[in-house]
Amino acid sequence: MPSIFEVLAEPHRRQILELLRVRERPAGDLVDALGIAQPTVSKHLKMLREHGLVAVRQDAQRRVYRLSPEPLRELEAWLTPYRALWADRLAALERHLDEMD
Amino acid sequence: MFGTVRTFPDGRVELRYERRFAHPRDKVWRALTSTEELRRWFVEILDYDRSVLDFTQGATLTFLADGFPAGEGKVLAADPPSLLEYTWDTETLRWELTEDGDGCRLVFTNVVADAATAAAVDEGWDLGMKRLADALDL
Repeated sequence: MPSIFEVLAEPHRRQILELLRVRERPAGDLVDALGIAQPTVSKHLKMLREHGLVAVRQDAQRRVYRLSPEPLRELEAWLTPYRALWADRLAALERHLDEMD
Repeated sequence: MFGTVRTFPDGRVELRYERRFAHPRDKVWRALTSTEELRRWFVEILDYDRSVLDFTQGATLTFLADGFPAGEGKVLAADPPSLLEYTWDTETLRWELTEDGDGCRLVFTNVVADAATAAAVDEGWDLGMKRLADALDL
């Protein structure tokens, strides 16, 4: 199974997440909005679902997708120490430059 | 201030920071490349007496820290005072300096990769994830 980073790196999958961020949508809407073939959209949705990034509900004949942001929060939590580390080091660099000849 | 995050199709993750310094590029370059300057501000756990940090193009770097296995790196680019790029184990650090009035601007990127993707580091990056945190309301 690809990592969440690989899942998010694919531009159409990111576009799907951004569309779903606004509101939930049936699969057909996503196909129209992305302008790519329905089977391709289905594959992307399947991968997003497998990673817990989207959830689906059945509404009569339609499958309606919505954003499920929990994995993104986990990703953010995983990255935070790295981000803070370099922010700290760059602040230290700036202080050091002020002291250098 | 916390940097922006992008992901690449092969799964690598890039953190990007921009800073402006009221100091000329030559001086910042010295702070980035001289072991004596690095020990004053760079990663604290490094043993600067034993690490080998010769930032010339193609040189091999040795990062030593007490209690950690030795880290290895390679200088991918060293073009004073504008571009320094090197690996540190599976990560890549890139420092770009451009003139900005009487000071300069730094763009620092840290690409985090696993061992399998480290080899792909300089194959070129295409579609990135812009502003992941912003775009997805994190």
